[in-house]
Amino acid sequence: MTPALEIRGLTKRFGSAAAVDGVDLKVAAGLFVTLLGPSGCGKSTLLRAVAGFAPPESGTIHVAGRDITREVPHRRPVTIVFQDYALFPHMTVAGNIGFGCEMKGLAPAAVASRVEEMLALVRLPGLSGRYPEQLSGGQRQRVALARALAPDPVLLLLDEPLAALDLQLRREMQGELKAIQRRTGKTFVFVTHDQEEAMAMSDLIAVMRNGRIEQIGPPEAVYRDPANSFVAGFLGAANLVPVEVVGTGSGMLTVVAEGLQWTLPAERVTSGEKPEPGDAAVMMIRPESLRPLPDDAQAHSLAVNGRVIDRTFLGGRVVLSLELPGGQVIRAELPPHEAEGLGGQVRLAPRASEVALLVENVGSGSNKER
Amino acid sequence: MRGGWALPLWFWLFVAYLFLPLVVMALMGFRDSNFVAFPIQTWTSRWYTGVLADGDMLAAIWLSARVALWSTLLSLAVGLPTGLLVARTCGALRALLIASVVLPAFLPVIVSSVALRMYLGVIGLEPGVAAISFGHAVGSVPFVVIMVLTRIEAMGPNLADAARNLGADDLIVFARITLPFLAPALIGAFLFCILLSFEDFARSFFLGGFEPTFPVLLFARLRFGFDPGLAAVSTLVLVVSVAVGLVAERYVRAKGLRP
Amino acid sequence: MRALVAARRWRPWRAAVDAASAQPALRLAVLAAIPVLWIVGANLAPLAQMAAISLMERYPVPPGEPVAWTLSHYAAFWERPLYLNAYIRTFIFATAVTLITLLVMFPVAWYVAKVAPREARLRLLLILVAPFWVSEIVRSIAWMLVLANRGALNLALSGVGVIDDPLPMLYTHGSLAVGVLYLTSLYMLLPLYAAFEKIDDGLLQASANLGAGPLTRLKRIILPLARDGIVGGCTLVFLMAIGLYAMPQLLGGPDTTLFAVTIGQVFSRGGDAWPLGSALSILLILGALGWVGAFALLWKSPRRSG
Repeated sequence: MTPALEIRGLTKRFGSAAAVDGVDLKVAAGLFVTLLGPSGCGKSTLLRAVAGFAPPESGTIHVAGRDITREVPHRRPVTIVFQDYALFPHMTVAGNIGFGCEMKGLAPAAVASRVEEMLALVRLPGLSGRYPEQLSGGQRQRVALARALAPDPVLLLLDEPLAALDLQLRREMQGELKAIQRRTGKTFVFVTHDQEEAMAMSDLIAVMRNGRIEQIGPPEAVYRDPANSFVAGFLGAANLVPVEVVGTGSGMLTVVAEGLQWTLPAERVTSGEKPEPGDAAVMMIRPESLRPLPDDAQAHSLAVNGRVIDRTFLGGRVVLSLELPGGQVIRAELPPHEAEGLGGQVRLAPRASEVALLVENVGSGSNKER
Repeated sequence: MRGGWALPLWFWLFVAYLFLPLVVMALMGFRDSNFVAFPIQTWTSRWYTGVLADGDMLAAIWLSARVALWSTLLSLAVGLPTGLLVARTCGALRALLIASVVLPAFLPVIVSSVALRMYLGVIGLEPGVAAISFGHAVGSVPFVVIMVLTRIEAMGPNLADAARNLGADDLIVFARITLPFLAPALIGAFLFCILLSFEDFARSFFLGGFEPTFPVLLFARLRFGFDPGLAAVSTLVLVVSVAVGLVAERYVRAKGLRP
Repeated sequence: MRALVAARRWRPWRAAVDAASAQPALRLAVLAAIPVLWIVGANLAPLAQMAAISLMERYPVPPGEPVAWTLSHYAAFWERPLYLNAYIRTFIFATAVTLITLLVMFPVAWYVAKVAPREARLRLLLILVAPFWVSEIVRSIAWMLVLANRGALNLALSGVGVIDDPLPMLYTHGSLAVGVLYLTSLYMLLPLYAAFEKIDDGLLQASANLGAGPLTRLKRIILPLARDGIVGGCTLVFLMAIGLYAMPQLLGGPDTTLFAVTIGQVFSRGGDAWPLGSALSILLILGALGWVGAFALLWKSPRRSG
């Protein structure tokens, strides 16, 4: 099956700095893919390169098998929804939505019926005669989406389109965008810096940093098995404890940190090569994976001993700050009833499937399919 | 903020300073005499109605109107691409462009006028309507450029990109997106140029041929003696220009074109 | 516009437009054609020609004779008191007018920008700007009627009993100044207004809170923050005043002749006075731009440190 989007070795420089640095990306048709990363990681630039507004220095871009790397923007079969919507102020909603169809040479009647179809899809019937300045932020966002969908593109690009909306509206639109993507079956490439948004909507998340894709995979996979500490820290909260590998054998690894020793299955190494004894690594433990051990339990392979130094009640959960024997402070998140009575020295432990061992090496920027 | 009386008083005194002379002039137009002087003993409307019979004056007003139209069209034709060009440049080049475009607005009018008068031979013009129109355009282009530039900067890069993304080539982007967006600036610039041209004196004086524009004719007649008719026609022209000017000013401010 | 879309069906058109789109340099070149032509041909060339003519012995050059270069016209400026005096007088006059305009318009601009209620601001600005559209000649006529021996002002003064005989007010520096202020006030108002508008009301309230009186607030807060507006306004006003041509002839007298009028008189003498007139014009430009340049540098906002 031809992928809807295939990017090979794409590099885009501004001056001497590479905003996009040798990126490879393959997206199958019909998926909702999110480019996730902090400001300046190159996600928007990558999007603009696909749209044709940032001609790359090297690499290729194929959309549905067609090489569009050198094509002018107005001939590419991709449409884009801008962060500020960029609705044409002097045209009505109908004029905006129908613009792409007009450019394809459709007859006015066909354009009009397509506009109605799109308005129904984004649930804004009856607004075709309004002007953008008369619409609310949420309505403008939907019109921008309808405008991008109307010309039936192969690929729909969305550059942080929900950033300007308030929280409630944003949540609502996340659901709607997902629903529309499912209904139309189009391939969406979505850009955001909000990891919750990414996880809520995507079939695949590509985490980007410094112009490279650090990891790409379904949300659960990227969350549970991050490829490095950047990805681990970017999606959700993560406790990252530096450890040293002291033993390997029979599918298990033993690592130590000051005052702590853990044994975990070797397949929980999510970052590449298997480590040797003596290697430095980072142990990732998600705060919500820590659960209290009964005091009289025997030594647990993943027991975390710590001293509670802070406790915050957040309604649905309690956040504890724990000081490890070595001095590092980590977070634990527990449902209130499990946190009752916890104070002073505590013993908590995660399940083996919920931790990850990250062996960092230089240049861990290649994409990993999981 | 301040509750004093001094500041508002100063303001309204200044407004009186601005308007009283114009009122005086309007009144003088009613004087029943061939000489201007106060007090006005008898009143008549013959000067105001007589404007319509004054062939030379009407011809001059008509000439001024034609010159205003031609020079405005020329200014727009030059100012529009110039504004678009400046919007695409940055840094030192942009500063240089803006400086050289805006130059005529900073030169003393007399210098610009005589320089253009001497230049006419180079571009093959004789003193006359075409020359005056050219001279007025030289003075108006800076304003057009500034207004177009201000408006273009408000457009943002995404609008044109969005159109391209939807399949519009460069010509279509210009015709369907850029030009309609610029329309308020062009309309505002049109009105400004018309008014600037109409009231210009120095350029019209030096670049004109045998037919005078309205200000030039007024000036010449003043040399020969001041009769209430001059006050009357001036008042009439004043009223029209101020009315158009106010419309232009309100329009420009409403569309946010004043930088 | 529909034609442009339909035209895309025609392959040669489509190919041509798309090829042009792919070349940003070409697009820029096409766009730059008219502007560059105008800048060179209408803005710069006339000035360059004028500078050249100012250095020629005679212009137009009689057929058959070579061009003779000379500085005699510039020398004539220094040697003839008529020109030098008018020049100096004009600069002093223009500087004085600039100062007067600044003093008069400062409170006016402040009132509109800060004191008057917000909703009234547009209306007040329109009131102030309205007379702008009255031409220089018409404004001169109006002031002649006010200041003449049998003008409105004298009528009012004698009617009230302040004077018995009419005061001669026209054809003096004073009458000229009053009329010129009429023209220059707008060019000072707008930059000042824009600068004042940008001053945060909160700053003034805070400083008053800390005990600063009105004069201190003026000196330490308003003036520094409005510096750019003041410099801008003074520059515009000065350049306008230095080039006045029509009004000085109507409201001024023979002993108030301004340099622009002098230049005009030289040019009116006919073609062989062009080199001299050009030289005088160049001197005027250099003097004016030099003067405002020095003023702007002197008043340049100091770089904020750290």
